[in-house]
Amino acid sequence: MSTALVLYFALATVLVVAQQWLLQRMPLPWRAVHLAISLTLIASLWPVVKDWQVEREVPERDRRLGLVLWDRSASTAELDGQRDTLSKRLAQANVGTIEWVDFSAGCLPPHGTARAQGATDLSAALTELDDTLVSLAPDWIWLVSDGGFDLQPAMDFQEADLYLSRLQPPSGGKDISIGEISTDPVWYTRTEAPLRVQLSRSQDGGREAVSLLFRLDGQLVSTTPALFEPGELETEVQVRLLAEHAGPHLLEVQIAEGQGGSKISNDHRLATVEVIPDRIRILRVVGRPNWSSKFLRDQLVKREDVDLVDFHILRSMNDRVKAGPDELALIPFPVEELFVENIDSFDLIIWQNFDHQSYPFFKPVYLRNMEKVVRGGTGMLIWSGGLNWSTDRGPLYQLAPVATGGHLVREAQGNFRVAKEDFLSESIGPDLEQQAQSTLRVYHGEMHPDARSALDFAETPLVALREVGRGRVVQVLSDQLWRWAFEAPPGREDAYDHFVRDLLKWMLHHPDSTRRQITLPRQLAAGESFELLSGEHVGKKLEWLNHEEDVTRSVELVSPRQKATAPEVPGVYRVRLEGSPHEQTVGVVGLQGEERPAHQREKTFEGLEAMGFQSIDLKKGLPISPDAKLGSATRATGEPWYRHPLFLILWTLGLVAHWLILNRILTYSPGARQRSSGQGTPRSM
Amino acid sequence: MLFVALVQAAHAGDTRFGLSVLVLGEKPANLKEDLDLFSRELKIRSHVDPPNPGWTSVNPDNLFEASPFLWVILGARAGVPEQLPGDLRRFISIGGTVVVEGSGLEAPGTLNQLRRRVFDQDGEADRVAPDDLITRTFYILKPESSRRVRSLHRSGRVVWMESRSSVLQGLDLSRADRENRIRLGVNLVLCALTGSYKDDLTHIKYLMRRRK
Repeated sequence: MSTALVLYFALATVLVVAQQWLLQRMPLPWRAVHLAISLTLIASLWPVVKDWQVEREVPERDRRLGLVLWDRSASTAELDGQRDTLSKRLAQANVGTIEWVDFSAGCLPPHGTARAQGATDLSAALTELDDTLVSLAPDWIWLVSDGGFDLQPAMDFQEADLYLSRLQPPSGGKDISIGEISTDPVWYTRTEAPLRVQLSRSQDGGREAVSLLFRLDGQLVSTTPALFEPGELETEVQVRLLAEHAGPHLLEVQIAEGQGGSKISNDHRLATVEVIPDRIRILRVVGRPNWSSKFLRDQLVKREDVDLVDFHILRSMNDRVKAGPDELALIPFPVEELFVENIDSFDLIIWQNFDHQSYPFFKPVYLRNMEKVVRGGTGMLIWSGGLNWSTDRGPLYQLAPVATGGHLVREAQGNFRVAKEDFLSESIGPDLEQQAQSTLRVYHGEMHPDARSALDFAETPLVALREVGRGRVVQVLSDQLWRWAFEAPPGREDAYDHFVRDLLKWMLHHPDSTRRQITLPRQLAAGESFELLSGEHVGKKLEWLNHEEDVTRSVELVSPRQKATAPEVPGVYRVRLEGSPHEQTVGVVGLQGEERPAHQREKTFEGLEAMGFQSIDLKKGLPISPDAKLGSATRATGEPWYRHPLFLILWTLGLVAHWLILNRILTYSPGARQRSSGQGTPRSM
Repeated sequence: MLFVALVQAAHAGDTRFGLSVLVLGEKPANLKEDLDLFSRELKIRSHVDPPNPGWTSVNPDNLFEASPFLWVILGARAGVPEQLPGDLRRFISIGGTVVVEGSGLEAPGTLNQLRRRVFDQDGEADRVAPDDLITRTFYILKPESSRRVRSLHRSGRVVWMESRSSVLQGLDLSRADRENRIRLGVNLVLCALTGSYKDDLTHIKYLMRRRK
């Protein structure tokens, strides 16, 4: 029994008991009349609870309703032709009303909400159709599919006659296809995740090997051979992949070009994997302890997800400690251990005011190693300070957004200006811009052509960004930002905290730090039509770049909201405005999951036949004739019963009667009749 | 709206390490000379680079206008001003470090009173405890030093250090005593600047090897 029914009966019981109790002093006829009215009103709620709908008489021709479930994801130009032919034949045969429902990974609009994903899911389509199927009560259902889906045991087709036609995917000789991909539900950064890939081939070609390519967000991360032994039509490949950054990643598996056989549409598969951050490993080198280094350390050590390896130069070559080595707690800087053996184990390197040229033990190879890992994806934060060091030469120049030379510093006075398209514009940027003019010590130099400023102060870059290879570099050009924490008024202490947190997010490629200039889906089906929200960028061009950095298509933005079509070739594309450094990654899915081997599809068809589907050859005669049994004469219109005028009349009468009786109750007094018999003789004391 | 108040004062905004000195009660004799001496020694011995002069005298009304490192000296007949505990709580919460040194007969009582009023609200007064870290931030000090100076850490940083005997005042002592006090002072400064840096695994590994 549904909740609505339980509530209904509970309400009815309470009302009846309550009214009998309230009217206990009334004469029986009044109570009986009121009970009748109450029960009538309660009964009139029954159609509301049961959602009764007004039914209408259906003309004889339309009494027979058929539903064609067409497997859209299996469609090709050739098969679309068959669809048109079937549609015409059904129309000419005058077999009644026909509803066409296309399905893919769910039921496609207008009957459902799913988007074409390039894979069939009959179960999902039926779930979306559930209410529609009940109200339509079709006399027959005709499923047209290539059988490229898993059959669910609990599929409800009502009581319709069931027909099944097989779409035969075009065959073209020997072919190898990628099947299911299975992996852990979530991955962790710096931990290799297992991945299993099923492959199948259409015919036994003896011992055969193909190469599989694995990409994460478009970057090639592994290649592995897949081997078919003689007599085998299926094989499995197991690899372990490593994701460096947290967030959702687009995983691609692809058979190397030219090795996948006759069909290339089944040589590629795309999936999304969610990567959870492990602890963030940070190496920081500080040239001199001061407030700038102290406040940054405070921010890093308070985070539970940070493993900080921190090195400060506490004693320079010129300091006189007035103590022997055994009286000092100073240790040698383990440069070999950090910059040779373990440099690739860090997610982020912080170079804070470290004048490496002053220390002969700091060899150039360490800087080169640092540059190498940053190009490979490690983040880097360069924080200016008062020591004499520069970023205008060597590996630091290759990484730094701004080439600064030693003491090029000035006490600047002015305002903040935030670059609209970078991450600070959504965090502390707007508040900074509204501040009154202030002073700040700013180091300056020449901005690298590939770099950009995320935050300016007094017309000088204060926070500069640069992407070097796969790594992201931030340069902070002042050592006074700690004052955002220490000199802030009460309630505003978290500006510095927000600033550092946002810097880390951007350098570590966190998806939240990516400003989206254009709104478009992260994943699309090949050739799918979608809506592009371009906002203020109308008039510019949107470029789609493939793995080879080729611009495969260029879309002119003509309106803030426009229709666009996804590329036909599956893969991961980097999408950007022409000339902009900001990119978004979009995955385009092909017919994956659909290209199943013939024996698997045959198994699905056998299962459907066991459920009662009658196999029909699409190109031959229709199973339904105009003389077939007629369906029901009436059909629900979808209009609820309680909106019927009869209901309005019934409730109006009921409420008026209830009001009359209520008045009677309020003025009724059991002794009134007796008193009225003695009236006319006023009593006096 | 976030707001960044940029105050102009002696060391305001200076990234270099500077000492803010607050004297409660009677000012100890030769304090200026002692502080000058300590600042000079700090600059000579370590890579910390204090400005000249390396310290600024503050009063309870302008605690926030100087450096994030406040050295409170409890002189004779020192009392605790009404608003000071609240201001110190805020000073600590925005990243500052407080060192309190007191000597003389009255000092322990005043120190206890000040500590209670600063930390009782958060239930942290009892967490102020002897700290081994102070013996190895720059100089390796004798274990007695960790009993002499007690501290409180919060989220990986040192926020409060206290000594019931003089550290920076009265440095006109014998050479050995003065050296011990300067070394302790240097360690306290580096404790404030580098936090629990010397507890990091790499440092511990090396220091343990050296102690063997």
